[in-house]
Amino acid sequence: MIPEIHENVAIGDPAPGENSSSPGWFTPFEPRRGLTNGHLQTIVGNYLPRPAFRLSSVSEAVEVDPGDGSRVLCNCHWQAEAERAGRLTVVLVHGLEGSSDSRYIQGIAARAWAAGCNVVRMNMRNCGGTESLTPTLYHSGLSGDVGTVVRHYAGRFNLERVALVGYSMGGNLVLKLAGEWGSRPPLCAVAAVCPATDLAPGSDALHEPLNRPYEWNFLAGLLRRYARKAALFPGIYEPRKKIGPVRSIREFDNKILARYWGFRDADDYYFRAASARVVDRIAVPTLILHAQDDPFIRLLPETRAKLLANPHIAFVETRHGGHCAYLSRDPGNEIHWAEATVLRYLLAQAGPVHGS
Amino acid sequence: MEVDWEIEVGGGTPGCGAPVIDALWPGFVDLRQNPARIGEIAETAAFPPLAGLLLVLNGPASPLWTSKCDLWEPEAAELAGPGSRESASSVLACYVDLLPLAGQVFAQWQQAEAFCREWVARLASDRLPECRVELIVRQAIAGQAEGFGVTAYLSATGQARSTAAESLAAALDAFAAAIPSAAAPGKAASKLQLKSTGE
Repeated sequence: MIPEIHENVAIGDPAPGENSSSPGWFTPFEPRRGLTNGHLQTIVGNYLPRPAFRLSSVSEAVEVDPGDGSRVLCNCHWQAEAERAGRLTVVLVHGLEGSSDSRYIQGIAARAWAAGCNVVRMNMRNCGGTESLTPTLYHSGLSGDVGTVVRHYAGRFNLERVALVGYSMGGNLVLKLAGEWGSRPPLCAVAAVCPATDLAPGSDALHEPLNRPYEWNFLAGLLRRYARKAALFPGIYEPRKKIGPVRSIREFDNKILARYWGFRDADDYYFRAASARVVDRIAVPTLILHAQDDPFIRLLPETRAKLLANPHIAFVETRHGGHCAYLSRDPGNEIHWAEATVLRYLLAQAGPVHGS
Repeated sequence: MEVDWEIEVGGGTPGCGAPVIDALWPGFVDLRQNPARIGEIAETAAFPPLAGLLLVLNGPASPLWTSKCDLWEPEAAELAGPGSRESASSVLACYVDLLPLAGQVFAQWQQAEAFCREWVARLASDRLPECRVELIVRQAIAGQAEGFGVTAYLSATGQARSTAAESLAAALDAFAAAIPSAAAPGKAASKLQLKSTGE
């Protein structure tokens, strides 16, 4: 059974004479000096310079829907062919309006590669400048796309162990897939950083006054992307100006996403796409990192109860960390606590990297 | 967005001239060398979007470095002007002292002026009617280097502090996105205002 971890402080600051029961992969999160504000963590995490990403990759557009020919672009970093199958393969899934080149994806990709893993940086449909590869939009329920990518590479290279890592919206996707798949080799472990497991409250939280700057950024990206889709596929999508004003993520989901994906409305979409519905069925070792001061990820009590009740899930809830930031006191590149923790966890679950 | 620039130099007598940027003041945090120290700048905790702006201004793509900033809530009347803000009940403002990476200070005020002109031109098309940006060229000292720097004042109005804060965050984003690529010398201005007192 995987140890259940709840409340960082209890782990990091045991009472005198009490031994911490932390597993080896876990170190307590201590926020960087001055960064105990969730918004500040989130913003600084987004802008803090990182080392240049220099790994060479092989890009491939993987078909995820034979019905309409939709493809997703994957940037892959493969270890030498002789040992590829035995190495842990980590499939990385970015967040809303991110891409395989998002800084947090590059950051954890570099770590996983250095640890000897194969790495697949997957773009969701349309992301990473791939609007022309699919006639559809993308949304939080497309866990099947992640599953198709896993099957595609596992089949081609006989991969023995595949782990999924998702951030925010990508976290919802990997948790949803894990719940849908249960125990299905070669999936051996999952990690989700600040996953948007409950979509409706998260969407509404983005519309709170303090979160509007984040919502504007997401919305501006989504609307620009919609305009590009309308230009590329005028037979499918109405011109942007005919859609009318869209002032919130919920309004985008109501007016655009639900319409073109056949959801009744935003609430129907939020319900059907949320991993919260299936996290109780997760049957592989799964790490979930959630910060209490995340500005806009909301975890419903019933979802929290499901996470805590599932013995396969290590639920790490910290007081600080913001949204996908987790900037710690550690020096240099080790400031990125979530990336270090996720990788240690995956390696601990998957066994030796040099598996063959 | 209202955008403008001016030059405010003169005096030379401490305490009675135009303000001088003392870039390496005792509270200076070198975000160029160590951006992770951003949390030590107290103003960023009060208004986190300011942290994003400071990191961009000190980031690898920026030709600038910052020496000081502040955040405050002026009276709405202080900002009354064209297009205005009569209906606004809340105002939020910040300033950032800016210097060029090359040479640490602008050697001539004309260089600083050309830089401001370009920045203003890049910002002029932004549709943020409740926001204002004002760039002021000032004398600056950075250690042994003496010359000129720029103080950027950004402000936004709203019906409540939260809406003013939303607008100011948008202004900061637009401001960061419009940073000129290089602090290059330029043509002299016609708008020099020499100030000999602190008026």
